[in-house]
Amino acid sequence: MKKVGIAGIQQQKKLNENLHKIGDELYSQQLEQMQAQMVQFKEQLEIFAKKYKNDIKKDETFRQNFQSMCTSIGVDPLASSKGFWGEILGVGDFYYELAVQIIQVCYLSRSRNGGLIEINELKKTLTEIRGKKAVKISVDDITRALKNIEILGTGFSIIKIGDKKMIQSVPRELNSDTSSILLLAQKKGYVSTQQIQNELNWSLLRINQTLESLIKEGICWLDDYNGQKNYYVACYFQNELA
Amino acid sequence: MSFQFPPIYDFPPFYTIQPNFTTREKQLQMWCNLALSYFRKKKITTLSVSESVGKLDLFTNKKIQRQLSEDKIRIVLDELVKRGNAQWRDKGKDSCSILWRKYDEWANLIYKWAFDNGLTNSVCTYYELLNGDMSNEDEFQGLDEDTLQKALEILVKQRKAQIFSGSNSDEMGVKFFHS
Repeated sequence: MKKVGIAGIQQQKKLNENLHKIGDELYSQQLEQMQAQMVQFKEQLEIFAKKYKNDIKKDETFRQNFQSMCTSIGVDPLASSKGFWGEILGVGDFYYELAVQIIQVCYLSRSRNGGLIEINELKKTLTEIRGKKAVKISVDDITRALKNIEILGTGFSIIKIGDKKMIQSVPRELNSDTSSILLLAQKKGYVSTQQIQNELNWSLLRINQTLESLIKEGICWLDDYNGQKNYYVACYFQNELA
Repeated sequence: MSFQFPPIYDFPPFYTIQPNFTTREKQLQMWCNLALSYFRKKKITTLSVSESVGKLDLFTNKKIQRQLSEDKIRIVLDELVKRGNAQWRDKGKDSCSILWRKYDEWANLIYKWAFDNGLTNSVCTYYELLNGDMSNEDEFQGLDEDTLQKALEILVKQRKAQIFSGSNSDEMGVKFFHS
């Protein structure tokens, strides 16, 4: 039964205070427990990382899974090559080394493809120059390596055109017209004025301007055969670097 | 002997002289490299433009139906001349001599080979060089006595070798030095 009057109010107040106290206690207990769990978890993760060090280094799928597991709990094994993770796994160096190789491939192929390279093609070339004995790399590794050097402001960016991921090693913005043409060219590897007219219904002026800029940027090569002009996107051509 | 063409050989725009300057430079460079390795493999030392056009598979790709016209072949050969890998034999630019490697490239190759094989400080005869172990190596295919002589003269100038002459060419010898 509820009491009324001053005594009742005082009792209510006391009850609230007690509840608060208990609540705080519970909360700090939970926090403690959680912290202990996190410490334990980190320990376990370290043990895990040490135990599967070789798998992480050698198996690209395993590495990717490990990476995403770490990211989901807010641990970044790449944060520093001198940090704990770097020392255990040596992964920091792995990505820096890969980044240097990516830069080399991109620069060397620039005059051929205008500084645009498809990520799978890049992976193939990287695998080739790294040799058979080197650790196998995945597209995910390439993305991570590039993120690693982002801080240097190297002007490398990953752009998506259709379902193709491309690495751009020249600092520039591709406008929407250029991107549309690059997307259209994915069908056959090249485009022609006629094809653009049919599919995108652009004016001749707009088509010519876009194609000219693609040639100027070195992204497209012209194929002039029997009066028929086709514009090939260099980086769509398989094996272009082999 | 069959020649393994690189992938760029099947790229249709490779047969159109590119309008973009940077792209064109790269294209000509690739043509020169391709042509030189082709000539080396097929042991071609002279070439006639008018006889090659439409016939030599180097310049004619039947699979993708593209070919270099006479003019374009001349552009490639002109580039090779510029690099010192070819020489026109007539004013009309039809016949062309091909040097697979420039003399100083041969010189470097020979010296490296001698060094790697521990032949520095010992005397080898020309005959040994042209018919012995060195001639079995792929990269020395097509090295003749004239070229050898010119390459060795370069090494002499670089003080990396000394030439000993005998009474006839079979007795010509060379000593490689440690540099």
